[in-house]
Amino acid sequence: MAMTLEELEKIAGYACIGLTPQEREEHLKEINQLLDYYTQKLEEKDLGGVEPTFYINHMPFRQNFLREDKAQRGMPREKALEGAPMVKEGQFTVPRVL
Amino acid sequence: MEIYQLTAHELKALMERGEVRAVEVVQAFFKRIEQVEDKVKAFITLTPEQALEQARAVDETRREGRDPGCLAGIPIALKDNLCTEGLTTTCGSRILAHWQPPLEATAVSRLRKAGAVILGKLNLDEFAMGTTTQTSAFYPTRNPWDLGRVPGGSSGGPAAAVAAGETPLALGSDTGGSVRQPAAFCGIVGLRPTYGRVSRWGLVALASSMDQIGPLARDVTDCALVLEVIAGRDPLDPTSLPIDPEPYSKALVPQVQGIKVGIPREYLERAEPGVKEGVAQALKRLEELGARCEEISLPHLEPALVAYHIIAAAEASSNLARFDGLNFGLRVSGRDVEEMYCNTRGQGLGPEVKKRLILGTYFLSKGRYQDYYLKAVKIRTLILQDFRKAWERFDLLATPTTPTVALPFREETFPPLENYHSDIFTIPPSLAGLPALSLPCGWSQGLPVGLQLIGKPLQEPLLLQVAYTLEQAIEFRRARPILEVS
Repeated sequence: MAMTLEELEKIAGYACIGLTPQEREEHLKEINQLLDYYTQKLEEKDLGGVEPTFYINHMPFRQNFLREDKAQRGMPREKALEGAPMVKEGQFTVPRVL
Repeated sequence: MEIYQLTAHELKALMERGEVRAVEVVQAFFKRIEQVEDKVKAFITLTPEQALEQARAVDETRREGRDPGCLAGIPIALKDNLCTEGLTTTCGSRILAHWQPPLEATAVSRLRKAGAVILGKLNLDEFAMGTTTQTSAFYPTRNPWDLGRVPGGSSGGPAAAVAAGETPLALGSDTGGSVRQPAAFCGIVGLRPTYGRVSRWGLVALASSMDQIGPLARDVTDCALVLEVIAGRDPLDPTSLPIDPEPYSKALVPQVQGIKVGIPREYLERAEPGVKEGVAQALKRLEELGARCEEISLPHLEPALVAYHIIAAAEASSNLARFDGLNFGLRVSGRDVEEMYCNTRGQGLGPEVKKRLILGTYFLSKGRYQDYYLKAVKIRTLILQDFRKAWERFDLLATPTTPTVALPFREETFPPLENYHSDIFTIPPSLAGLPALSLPCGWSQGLPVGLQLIGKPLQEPLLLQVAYTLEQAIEFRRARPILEVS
């Protein structure tokens, strides 16, 4: 299942990654080489009846451990904004959307 | 022997006996850095003023007779994907080149609390995606044993800095082998703890179901010392296990009598002859010491590699969506918000990262999810089953850490498949969330060979005990690369 140039452009769009025409060529070649290899290896294995493992949990009964549902002091707003490239009136600045 | 050649526990003993001050130790390491860093290029950021200030505080605390902490005055350097409050954390990427985090990784604050002195931040493959440290947006790090070879990756900076004597300790992160593989290439010890043993809070995420923070050091004792400090439950990471860390240093007894070690034959067969020979020698030594070594089959090596790359790319494509030009780091403007995202990520991320994010997005997209992602997580189940079966007969497993010794530098936009294969032995325990350690065990072509020991979940004490026993017997730990100083 080779990826086409149109497909690459669409997927790069979903991932919000701008590519130059030269990058598109290079990535397509590289990605198709990998997909070839992956597909071939995946086909070698019969996975019928095998359950998926999405994550590892070493606790018996796969328990989760959440914090107590209690209000806590969070990070001050000024601090959270410090690393942002553009800030205005204590808010992240987004380009015009309307 | 010079200060920079000592291990952390030797420095600790000297400082506790009052034979050397923390300030002198820190100065000695900065002097070493000055002498060799232009060749090794392990660091991205150095923090001499803050480090000396911290060291002075440790000396002062000690003078006043108060307890300065169990790592007091011991220098450590951090892989640059570990957040340090107010100190640039780049992840080896242009997109975060000037980003100063507003928070600190839990592992890092625990180190500071224990009195460790932070020397600076270390180079890595961009967002930890790579096995050579060549995908760093800044410069490649060089292997101190042979400057024409890669130090491994993605924790190439940490491994090279420890090997070169620029720091006695470093903290790295390991997703598919990023602590163990560079440790093997650079002839030092690297430990990946059990998934959930160390909090991931403040580690910039690559693949959340596999990422773990782990120490790199000159010997096993130093790794135990660091793990003791950083392990344990952290409410900020819901995947950190609510199990108290053990006194890992106490596990270091030279005894392997009757311990059952499984040797997966598929791993040995895939290693190049020199690596195979080095590992076989070490295993022979282990048997002489009383361990019971026996062959076993762990058949899913190649499927594990493929499954890992699919899962890691998929998880990364979601994790790295946060670098969007709004909240952190670089922003490249555009006509509208979408174009701004695309420009920022297009110009801020390097080719390997972009490739993996595109692939990850593809694997999770409609129609492809079944073909790739779902198959990959099913293979993960097979890997878990292989290990479970092995644990019925064995206490731990031993393999080469890597199929080859450190590879020469290659100049290509994308790393060849050969580089992906350099993680083939470290990936299965990563997929299964198991603890694993790389111990330098011999030589091939004048370069270090690493032995990987894999343990059952949370069995770090046994892992450390066996590694320690073997380390004492093979005397690799005093070997140091010869670097001409400038």
